[in-house]
Order: sequence, then structure tokens, then C-alpha cells
Amino acid sequence: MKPWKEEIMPRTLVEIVGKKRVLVEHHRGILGYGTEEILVGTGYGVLRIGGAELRLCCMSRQQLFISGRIDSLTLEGRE
Amino acid sequence: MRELWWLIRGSTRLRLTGADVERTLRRLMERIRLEDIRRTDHLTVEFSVSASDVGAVEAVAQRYGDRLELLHSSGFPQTVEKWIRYPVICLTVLVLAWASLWLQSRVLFFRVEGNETVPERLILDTASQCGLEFGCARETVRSEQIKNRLLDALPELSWVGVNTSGTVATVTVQERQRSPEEEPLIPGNIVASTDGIITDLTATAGTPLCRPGEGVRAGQTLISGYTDLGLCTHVEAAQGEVYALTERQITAVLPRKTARIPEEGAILKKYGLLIGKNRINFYADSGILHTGCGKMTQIRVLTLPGGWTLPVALIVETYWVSRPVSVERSPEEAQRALEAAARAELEQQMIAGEIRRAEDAFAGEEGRYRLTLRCSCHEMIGRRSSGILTEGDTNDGENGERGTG
Repeated sequence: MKPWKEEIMPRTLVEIVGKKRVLVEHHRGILGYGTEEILVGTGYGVLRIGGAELRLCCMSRQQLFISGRIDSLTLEGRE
Repeated sequence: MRELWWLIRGSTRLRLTGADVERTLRRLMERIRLEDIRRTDHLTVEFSVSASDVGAVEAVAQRYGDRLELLHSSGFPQTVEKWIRYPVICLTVLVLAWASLWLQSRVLFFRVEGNETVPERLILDTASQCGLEFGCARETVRSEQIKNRLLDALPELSWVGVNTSGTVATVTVQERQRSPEEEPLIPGNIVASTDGIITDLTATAGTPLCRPGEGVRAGQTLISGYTDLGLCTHVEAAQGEVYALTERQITAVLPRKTARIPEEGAILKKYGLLIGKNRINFYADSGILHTGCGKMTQIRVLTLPGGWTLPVALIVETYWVSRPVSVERSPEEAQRALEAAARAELEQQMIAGEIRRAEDAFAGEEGRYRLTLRCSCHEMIGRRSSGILTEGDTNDGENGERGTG
């Protein structure tokens, strides 16, 4: 039987399209925003997106859409 | 697709300045969708939201003490709101849009093709009786009905077609060709219309009774339609051309005095507007002047570039109110007028030909001028006579001798 928290709260989903677009679903908001690095809060820690000319195309409660040149994706999270 | 949706809904571009813009953005994203988020510097970020969410953004910014600037609004609702401030322009645009859609289904211009002798105005007036008139709907144009009406009203036409293309209605006609063979030929002769000396004779039917160089008198038979073949007489309508040198004289007279309206005098102008067949006068009275005057009417039809005319015309009536005065003609003026009139009358009397030499005698008499014009002409003197056989008109088919009358 799974913990009830996991059943209610959906899991974060990160979708990468080539090296130009990243879609993050069920996130917890922007922690940092720059043209070379964007920090996104997730249920598993902080998602660090590195690259160049990064831009937030749209942001809502469910989705976060980032475009630009994606060089790295790092998840720095808690266990 | 998303851009189209935002264009229809309308969007607002905002600039947010604060110490922790990320915190403000996290708070905003819980309720509002943010688009095109751009970081201008470490304290400022720009983004677009729906026009209806601007109030919520202001509330959040105020709560966190951030500064919010409205950069610009765009989209269909904002454009409509902007144009509503100019009701006249909006109304004009709506009227023009409606007119451009409605006028496409109407006939505004007319063209007539194929007519050579039948006037265009007559064709269009007859067609208008069947509904083909300015402003009529294209779907109401009955091509067969108009065709039958035109063929009944104008016997000179042998075929009619009506087509509409856009706002132009084209009436194509073909006139009836009457060939010379259709004209009934009554047996008869070609006789001389006046005295003269034959210079050229061409007989296409019948028997010539004279030769070039011979003198003939008026009424003399030149080409006979009757040929005595001995056993029978061949009868036909004589045809041909006979040219001769003739002498003509004509006398013309002209009074010494004439009545003229002097150029100086009161000039009065009246205006009117002609719309279709309805006339609107821009003057209150009847337009009838109770004095002698000269009148000139100008009708200026509204013409679009390309030669397309509309049934709208400006009527300008110019009146010269002045009394005629008696003026004596000068002899030179009278001589010129008499000579021109005499020549015109002579040319009209001739069937075909030219005046080769003319001598005139001009004299002034009591109360008038007289001019006698004597001309040497080269003209066609042959004319058809009735088909009555007279003594001396027959031709002996064996010897070719001309019967003497």
C-alpha cells in the first residue's frame, strides 16, 4: 500500500525536446531565473537547467515551458 | 493556435520590479497563466497575461511590495475598445463593409457589344423594361426573357445574349444582315437623271444602249432591261453604273439683314441632378423664363476611371437673357455662306460624284444677296426607272442595234 501523500500529489514530469525545449509538469515554481540558468522546484528537489538564451515561454500551476539552448539538466534533491 | 487564441482574448504586457521576483512569479502561477516571461535584469521581469488577469497581478504585486507597470495591451477586445471612441469612423467602416458585400450582388454597369446601327441607349432602355436596370440583383436577371423582349422590340436584331460578370451586365447583339439579293428587283431600265456626256459605263445586267463619249438627255435610257431575242424578249432588272460630265446651276439667296443675340446680356445658371430617370432641380421656381432668351443644357455624367458611367448626372442650364438685334451681313460673309450652301445642295442632288469646276456670280439686290453657282460635275447619272416597256427601249438581240425613239 502506497503512502497517501504519493497517491494525492502527482509526480513531477520533465520532458525534453531536443536541446531546445523543456516541459516541466507538476512543479513547485521558479526558484531562480536567468538566461543561462533556471532553477525549478520539484517534489524531489531542485531541477537546475543550464544553457544559453533560456526563456520561460509560459508558466502556470501545472506546466512550465522553457526554451533556449539546453546544455544540462541537474536534479539536486533530497532523498 | 495559441497566439490566435490570445489575439482573440486580448493580452496585456506587464513589467514587474521587485527584490524577489521569483517569489512573486510563484505566487502568480498558482492562479494565472503567464506567457513569454523575460528577465530584463536581476530585479525586473516582463511577462504577458490575459487582460482579465491584470487585476489579480496587481493585487499580488501590491501584497509583496513589487512595482508593476503596464506596458501595452493588444488583441481584439482592446482594438474594439480603441475604435469605439471614433463612432463616425466605425460607422463608416461598417457601411463600407456592408456596401462592398451587398454591391457585389448587384448590376451597376452595362456594356453593349455587337451593335453597329442600333443605338446602345435603345437596347438598354428596352432591356430595362425586363428588369435589367441599375442596381438590380444579379439573380433576378432573366436572360431568356430579356432576349425575347429585345428581339420582339427591335427587328433589326437577329440574336441577343445577356451575361453578368461581377457588377457588369453585358448585352451582346447581332444585327440582321440584309443582303442585296433580298431586295426585290423589278424589271426596268437605267435612265439618265440629267443631261450629260457619258464618260464611263459599266452594265452588270441588261443591255447598254450608249457608249462613252455620247451625249444623253435626261430620261434617256442608258441600260435596257429588255432584250429582244427574236423568239422571245428577255426581261430583267438592268443594273450598272453610268458616269457622265454634267453642267449644273443653282441659285441661292440670303437676306441682307439677320437677327443676332448679342453676347453681352444677363447670364443665368440653374442646376439639377439626374439620378437614373429622376430629376432633382436645385431651384424653387418652374424654370420657365417669361422673356426671350437662349438656353444651353449641359449634362455631365459621373464617370469612373476606366470609362464606367453611373446613372448620376449633373445638369447645368445656362440662359442668356438678351434681346435680338438686327444686323446687316457683310457681302463677304454672305458670299461665303451662299457658296457653301449651294455646294452642299449640289452634292446632295448628285447620286455620286464630284464638282470639278465651279463659277459663281454674286450680286447684291434690294434687301438680299443672290449667288448663282455654275458647276461642271462628274457624277453618276444612272437611276432605275419603272418596269414599263416603251417604244424604243427594246434592243435587237441579233444585230445589237439601238432602237431609236
